[in-house]
Amino acid sequence: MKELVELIAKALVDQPEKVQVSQLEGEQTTILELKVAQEDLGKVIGKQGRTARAMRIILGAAGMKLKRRFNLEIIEKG
Amino acid sequence: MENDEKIEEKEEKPEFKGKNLEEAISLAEHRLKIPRSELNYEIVTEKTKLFGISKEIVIRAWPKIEAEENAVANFLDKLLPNFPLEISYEIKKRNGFVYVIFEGNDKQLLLWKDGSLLLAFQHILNKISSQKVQVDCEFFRKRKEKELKEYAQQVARQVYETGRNEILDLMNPYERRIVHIEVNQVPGITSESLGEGFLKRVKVFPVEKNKK
Repeated sequence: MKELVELIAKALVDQPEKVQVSQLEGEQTTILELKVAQEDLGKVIGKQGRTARAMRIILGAAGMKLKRRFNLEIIEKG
Repeated sequence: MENDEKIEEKEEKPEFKGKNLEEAISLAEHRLKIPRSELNYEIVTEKTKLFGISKEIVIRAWPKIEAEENAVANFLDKLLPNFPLEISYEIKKRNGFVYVIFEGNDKQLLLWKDGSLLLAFQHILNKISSQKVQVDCEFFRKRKEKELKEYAQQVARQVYETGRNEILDLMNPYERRIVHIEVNQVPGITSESLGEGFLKRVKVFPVEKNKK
């Protein structure tokens, strides 16, 4: 699922080389942490969070098929 | 993307000559029978004669839509193998936008929760493509449109009978447009959108005849 998030994020941003996704496996949930360049943060979140929501819906559907919960977290670099 | 463009440049593209850029583009529009909003062009030569009075410009023009379709197709070709659902797609051109139709064993999941997955794909594809993208599956769009029309007509009739305003649930611009069109077909009834942002409510109310 990591590849999926990476693909979508890379297609959305201006600096695809700065896209990083890490996958953390829990018992029932997989957490996907997405990091992008500071300037691209808005691109993956979207107006009123619509793009982020769309990505979560895509992950949710994948999760339904795979019977696993996927959680997308967009990480803001400090 | 850049590689694609380089390959394209080797192919023959028609050239158009004009006194200025405007004229050259108009000519390209005419000859290729494509509106300029769907044309890509590059300037080949630009000559300015003495005192800049007489000019000549040559451009090369080609339709944009091919590239846009490819952007969408390339993305989906990479995405779908990484996506656990069994779905395939087909791309069509329609009225100047890219129309993506999904098929496959898992299409029920696409329509799950009122088509939220379908609309999620549409949103992402629209971000990637500069051309407008619409997605559909199993005539989902047509069916939704019909349901919404019937609902709008029903509300308009109710307002007509009771004379009381009705305020509908949050809707996106596409849905609101359908509601406005349907409601305004009922004589004496009109509608307006309330609120701010992408999602707004529609108010359906009787037109006040005495108001000037």
